Amino acid sequence: MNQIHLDEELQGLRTGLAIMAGEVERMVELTRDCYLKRNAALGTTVLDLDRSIDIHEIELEKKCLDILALRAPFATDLRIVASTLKIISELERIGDHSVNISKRFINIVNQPSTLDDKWINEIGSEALKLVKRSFDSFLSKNVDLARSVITDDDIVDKLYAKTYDEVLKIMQKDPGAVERGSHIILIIKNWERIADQATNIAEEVIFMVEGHNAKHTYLDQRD
Amino acid sequence: MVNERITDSTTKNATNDNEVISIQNFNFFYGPTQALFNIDLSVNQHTVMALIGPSGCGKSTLLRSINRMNDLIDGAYVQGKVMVNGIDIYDKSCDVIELRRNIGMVFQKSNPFPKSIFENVCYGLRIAGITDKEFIEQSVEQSLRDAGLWDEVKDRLRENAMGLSGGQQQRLCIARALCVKPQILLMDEPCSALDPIATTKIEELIFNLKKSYTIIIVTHNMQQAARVSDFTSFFWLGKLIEVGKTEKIFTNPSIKITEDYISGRFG
Ligand SMILES: Nc1ncnc2c1ncn2[C@@H]1O[C@H](COP(=O)(O)OP(=O)(O)O)[C@@H](O)[C@H]1O
Ligand SMILES: [Mg+2]
Repeated sequence: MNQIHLDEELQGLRTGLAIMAGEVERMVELTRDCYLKRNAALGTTVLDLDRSIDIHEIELEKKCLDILALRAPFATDLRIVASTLKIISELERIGDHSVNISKRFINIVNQPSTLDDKWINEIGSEALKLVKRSFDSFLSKNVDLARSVITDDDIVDKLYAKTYDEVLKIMQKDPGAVERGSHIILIIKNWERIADQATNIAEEVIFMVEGHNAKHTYLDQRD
Repeated sequence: MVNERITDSTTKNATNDNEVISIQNFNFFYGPTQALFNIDLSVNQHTVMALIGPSGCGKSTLLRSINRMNDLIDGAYVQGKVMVNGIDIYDKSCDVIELRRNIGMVFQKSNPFPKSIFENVCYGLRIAGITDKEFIEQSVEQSLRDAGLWDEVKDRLRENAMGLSGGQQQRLCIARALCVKPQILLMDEPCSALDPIATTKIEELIFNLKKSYTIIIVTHNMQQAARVSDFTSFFWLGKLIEVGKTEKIFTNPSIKITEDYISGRFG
């Protein structure tokens, strides 16, 4: 017995996912650079790329459903298809969050800067690291790398909390900073969500490779 | 690797209270040829256990060992135990007639007798010497209902069973097995000769029957094993390689050969 067709289709899925992830990674990087390099054009590119991500999602979802319906995979094959379905929707949302951030960056990037530069760039760079690492863990099926993403999500959470407090303080002192401050609060919230989605992808990688759910481990103890 | 045997801890824990069948260190020989090696398997009340594995791995042999259908084969002998309700069925004191009444069997090829539908169903009662007409009629109706066949045949009970479709014949054989009120049903590839619709009916039937019966089913259809069973055991070369909850076996088996087999990459 062999499964040449299924193997080819799974390989196709993997390639498609790698391409989609590559584009999403580029969006996240351009988003970070838009502010880092003070270049609104980079943010506009992010908005343009978003459509391509949606198309990838639709195509890959169809491929997954076709495999489920026509090949009825089991075991590792089944887990690959199930994780791919979830990962593509996480990728699509990372794309959406990048768009949200870029739109706001386009608004504020040419305004005179205040204290917030360092924090915004830092949380963006940390989130980008997690995104890259979660994609690498998928491509290399490396569960240790995936686990490090889950652990390091904390770094971004802490940066978010710290930045939020600082921005709030500035806005309280200076009503003139409220407009910019509210953009920044939404920007950091979106970065924090991107890091969460990288974590979700890392959890899917662990499920795909090891076959158990890495989410909410306390729930597993019920069985 | 082959000797390694994984038993899902959930399977093990569950066996204590509700265990109906317990196969212990069981070996089966067709004369000089050993067909089963050190099988340990337990089946709980009102669950469905699927036996899967490539042809010739010993699934039918094991199934027939549970109601001693292999007794009829010249030169065949066993070692180890098959406990049913805590009683060793290979012990001299075991009443084989009663054992076979308690453990019904359905085969791959439906095998109705060339008699009426009614006589097919009550066959077991007749050979048990039961003559109470009313009791027999009630039992036939109930069995046909339980087998999901009553509505299709209630107006033609006296017609020859050979006129039924393949799927109906198979459900008739199930009704015949049910009529003597067994506790356990053994099914050896019961759908392999049926079309998808007849197969779905049997699968739904199995799902309903497990409320009242304990079922062991041999199937070559992985999807079917996944759909109908609570537990799945994988056999290879006469050995039980892995047993566990069906969802575990089909999403994340512990042993590589099991994975290769269920995902169609065997050999
Ligand atoms: N009556 C028999 N006499 C001798 N060998 C048999 C007999 N029935 C089955 N076998 C052998 O025992 C092994 C297991 O057969 P079986 O239980 O029918 O496997 P399965 O049901 O998994 O296809 C096979 O090698 C088969 O050839
Ligand atoms: Mg067989």
